[in-house]
Amino acid sequence: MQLLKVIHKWLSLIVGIQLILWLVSGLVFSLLDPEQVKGKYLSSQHAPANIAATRQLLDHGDILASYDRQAVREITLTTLLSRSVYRVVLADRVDLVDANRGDSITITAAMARAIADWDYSGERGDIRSIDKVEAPTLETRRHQGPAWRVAIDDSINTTLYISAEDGQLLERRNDIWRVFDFFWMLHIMDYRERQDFNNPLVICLAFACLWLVVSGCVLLVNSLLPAGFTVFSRRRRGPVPVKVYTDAGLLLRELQLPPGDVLIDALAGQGVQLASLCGGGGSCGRCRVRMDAGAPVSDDDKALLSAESLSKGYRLACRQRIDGPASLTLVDV
Amino acid sequence: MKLAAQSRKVHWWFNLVIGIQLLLWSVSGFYMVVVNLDFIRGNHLVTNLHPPLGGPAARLVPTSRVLQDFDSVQSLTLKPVLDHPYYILESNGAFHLIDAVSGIRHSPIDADMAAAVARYHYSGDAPIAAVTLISENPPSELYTRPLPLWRIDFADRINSSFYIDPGSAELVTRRHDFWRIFDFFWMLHIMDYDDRTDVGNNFLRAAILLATVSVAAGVVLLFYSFAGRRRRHSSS
Repeated sequence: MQLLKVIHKWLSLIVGIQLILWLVSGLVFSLLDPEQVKGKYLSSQHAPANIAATRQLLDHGDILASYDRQAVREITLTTLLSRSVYRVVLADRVDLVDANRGDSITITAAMARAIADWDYSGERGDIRSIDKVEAPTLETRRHQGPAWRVAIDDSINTTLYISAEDGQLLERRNDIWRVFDFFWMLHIMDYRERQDFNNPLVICLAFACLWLVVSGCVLLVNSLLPAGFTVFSRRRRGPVPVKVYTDAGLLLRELQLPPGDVLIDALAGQGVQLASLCGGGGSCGRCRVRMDAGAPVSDDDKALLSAESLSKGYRLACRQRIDGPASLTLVDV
Repeated sequence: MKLAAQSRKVHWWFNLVIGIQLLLWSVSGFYMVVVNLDFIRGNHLVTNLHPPLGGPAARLVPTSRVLQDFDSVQSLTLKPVLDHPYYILESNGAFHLIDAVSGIRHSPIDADMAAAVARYHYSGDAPIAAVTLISENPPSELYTRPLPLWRIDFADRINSSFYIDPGSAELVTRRHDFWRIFDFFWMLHIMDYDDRTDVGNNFLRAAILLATVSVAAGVVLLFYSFAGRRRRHSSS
């Protein structure tokens, strides 16, 4: 038990702050509305448009013919801003081709603006800026390839990301997501990429935390089962007489204390305050009193008092349960 | 002394209530960070996810001919399934699989084809243990994915299951025992025991608040514990 206490103490020194951060970030996750975090609540959920089967519509085969078949993964006929397009997925990029004329489509800033307008449903926030990001940023880390960043002037600073390759709406970011993401970073302890929760740091801390909690649980269960701890006897038996003497041997008080209580707490309840730094944790050794030499000796007594002191009847008051009439002598600290 | 004594009481009583959940958070969190996420996702179980169209330039059924059989079409994809070109047509949320050379409709695909597709994407060599069409009462591991789905179980050590959409013949998702353990721990972690999705449940919020008080009291005690270490009392 003594070793377990030391382990618990040192692990809490290492894990304490992070444990609080885990709890606080967890609370933030559970308080934020996931729809707001995802930005979906400011998106006008359009049903996918129907493909207009015009006479000029090119065939999949026509599109395929202009590529090396070994490089093409799939070709999809779909709609982009009410225009039929072919989306050609290649090993390393995505091409967009007009389905009627066959010419390649580049997503311009104007198109990105139109796509953003089409998707955004918030109260008329003006578009503040449109610029192109060539490589993924923290906000588009799940995607590859260039993207248009459309910043909207609303109360939560919505930013829409539109793929510069095929015009798909990649992400809807806003300040609520940014708060979430900051705490996510703290939660998984990946301070750079914010996505790798198998990083060595978090594994070490989680391991330490696991043993912190396991040791705490064992200590807790143990504290419920010491010899002489009698939750029920408190109801059965009346108060126990305890005489308190000063160091000089004068009778100071005669008290009636409830059986089963911890001595230091019971004394404090009667106005006899013993010194303690640790608040009754059995770790500072300040609350020692002299009792009958046969009083039970706890591990903490052994750790903090010498064998000689123990044989003289010195004990820690925070480690004694009241179980019968007793006399004790206060020690000048 | 007073603050220390009170903190110790708070630490003790609150942990008596919330200690078990702190233990569950620690165990589940440790599992989630220590087991590699790519492994959990089953990335090692799958292969040939994006095969090229390849093959000889067979004459494909014209796009307009495929479109004319359906009232409304949202997308029409040409891609290889089992190394043969197919059209996958999306019409009002449903998917249809059409042979791009013969024009014959193959969806919903039968058990043999579903098994063949699963085998095509499976990177291991364990035999198939069972092929089941799930059209109602989905296992919880499918969450809210639309049914029906073919479930193909492999007789490997981690009980891999592949789910194939009968409409598009696509591999929708894959599961295995370590994923299932992850999912179970996720449930314990977010304390949503019904749907395993709602992080904003009041149960979790209350538990976090209780645990925060307990841990804060523990941090207070930390100062006193180390302050009291300075000397060891011998006989007075």
